[in-house]
Amino acid sequence: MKFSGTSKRWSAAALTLLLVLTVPAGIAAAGRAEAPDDSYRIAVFVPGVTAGSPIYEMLAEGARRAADEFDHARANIIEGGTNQGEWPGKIASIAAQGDHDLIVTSNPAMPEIVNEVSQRFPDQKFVFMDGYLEGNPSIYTLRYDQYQQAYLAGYFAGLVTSSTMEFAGEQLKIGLVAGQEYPDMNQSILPGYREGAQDAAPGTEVDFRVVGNWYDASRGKELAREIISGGADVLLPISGGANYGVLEAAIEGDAYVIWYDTSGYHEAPGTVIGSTAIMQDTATYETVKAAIEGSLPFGSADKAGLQEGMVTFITDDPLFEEHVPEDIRRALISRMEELAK
Amino acid sequence: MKAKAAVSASILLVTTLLLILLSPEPAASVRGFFSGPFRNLYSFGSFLASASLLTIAGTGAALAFRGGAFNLGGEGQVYCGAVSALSAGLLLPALPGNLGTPLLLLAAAAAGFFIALFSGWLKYRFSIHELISTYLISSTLVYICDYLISGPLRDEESFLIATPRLPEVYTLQQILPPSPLHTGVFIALTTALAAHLWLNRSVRGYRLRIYGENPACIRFAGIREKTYALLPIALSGGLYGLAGGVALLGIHFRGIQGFTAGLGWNGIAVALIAGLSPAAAAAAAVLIAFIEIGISAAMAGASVTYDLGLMIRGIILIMVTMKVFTSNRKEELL
Repeated sequence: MKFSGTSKRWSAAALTLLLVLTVPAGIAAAGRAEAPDDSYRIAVFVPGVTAGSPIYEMLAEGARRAADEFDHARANIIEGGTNQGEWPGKIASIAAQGDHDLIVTSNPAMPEIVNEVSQRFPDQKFVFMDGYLEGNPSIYTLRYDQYQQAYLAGYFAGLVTSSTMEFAGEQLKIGLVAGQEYPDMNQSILPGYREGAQDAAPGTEVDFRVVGNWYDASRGKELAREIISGGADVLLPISGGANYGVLEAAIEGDAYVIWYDTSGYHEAPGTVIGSTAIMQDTATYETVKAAIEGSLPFGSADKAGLQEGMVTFITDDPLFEEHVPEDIRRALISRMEELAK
Repeated sequence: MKAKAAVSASILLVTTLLLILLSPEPAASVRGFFSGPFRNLYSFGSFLASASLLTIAGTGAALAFRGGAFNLGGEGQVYCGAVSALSAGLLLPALPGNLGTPLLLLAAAAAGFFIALFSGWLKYRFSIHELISTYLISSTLVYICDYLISGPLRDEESFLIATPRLPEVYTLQQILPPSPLHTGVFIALTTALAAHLWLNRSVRGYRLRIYGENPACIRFAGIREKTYALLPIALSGGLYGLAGGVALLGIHFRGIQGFTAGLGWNGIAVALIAGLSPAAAAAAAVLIAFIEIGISAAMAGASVTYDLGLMIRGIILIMVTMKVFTSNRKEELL
């Protein structure tokens, strides 16, 4: 079919309109002066998307707050999306661009990706929150004490499963649903959770399941159902988006849930009865501030826990006070005080 | 040719307009988008590396279309190609690189070839339309590949859902360090050129085109119909698989869950922009790669969210298939 004269004219008109609209804007944009050279530019690489992910929201917020304190500093949030396969290329292209003095990111997997990128771009400085890598002079890492955090969750779960609370069953059995198995999970979180529970209620068993990714809520729900029907009454989901499947199963199956990393009491009052938290906003703020001031010891790796105030169990939430009996609350708080010494 | 230039120009213009309308910092975004591949050596190299993969995938998509078949299973074929090469590289005993690399690429192409061939056979034997069978099979295979990477092939020490790295001897030569450009760019050009010559200068290529336009014609000419019912889609799958292999050996060197995602669909976009001509696929691949790199650069420079980037990319791909463009293209083809 031939183009009719009218549609041809329409296309031509549309094209011209677009040209008129866009070209001047493009030229104006290209001609804009670059930021002055003495500025300190920070790229916050979010391995995922910020919206709906409190950990990454805190990361962005902490970096922005630090940058706002200095006239010459500016933080730029760059989202990498949820496909892990795209992260190496994206972070390399930010490093290659070379216009950021510092790249801040957060995720235990990032050091592995960036260590390689760093060899290609040795001048680029990186900060990792919630990651660990020592000895690369361009990289500073701060990790949270995962063992301690999981220990708190386990200790609380042990107190609950051995209690007379409404949904606490006969067996001393609790559950952990992980997104995937990784070194921190196997070497710190699971042992911490197990030992915490043992200390609170000797003989408590942990039913450990793996979703296989960080988003599949229906798989999370299925696993949680199995755990609950196996006799466990407290679940700790550490599985990203799949956490919501676990939560649903707990609501339907009359079990309790402990939230990890951020406050989860409002997610399902009465079901989420406990919440550990990491202070990622404060930690990022302090770390980035030190980097801007030039006092951050690149090349070293730090670890922060209860003592440093970066890991905690949220005990001042009204929902916690409402749904957890006083003796359990008191036992948990006194254990936290012992650990913080 | 004029029409193709107009298509390309309008796509770039619409992208600019979208960025101006949607970006929180329009100026920085537009600048980032247009300077995308040319900001530094790294981005230029990754631009060409990405265009190479798209050229191979796009040539594959075009071959199926020209033979009258719809191969919507590119995603699974690419992923399976990559995972086959990966498994071969990790599980087989070590081979010298000059033997191993072609063998792994062959494994990748073979995987895609046979997967697509199966869909062709379902069509020929049971009249199951390949439009649905390629897509359904591919969607299933994506999960199987995900499983292989997160299960049996997984590197337990890694924080990523990823396999160990392949032995270095198998990887394609890097040609523009520190960028990821590699010798796969020559594989891509050779593939597109070979497909072009085969399609336009060989008897079989001629028959394939005739079959694509009118299968009855081949039947009445007394030519074995089965060959041309199976060949286009199988070749298409083979090239998709090859694209997965090149992505593995040239860029990633290890399997990371979902690492080839998008290549299958983008291959179709490349084929459509190229007017289903393998020779034009390289040019169309350059355009799509430009858009990809440009969007990333626009995102990096101006806090454009990831979702917004995806949306702009989606709008561009929809534009590519718009009637205004396709009707003109058909005229050039026929």
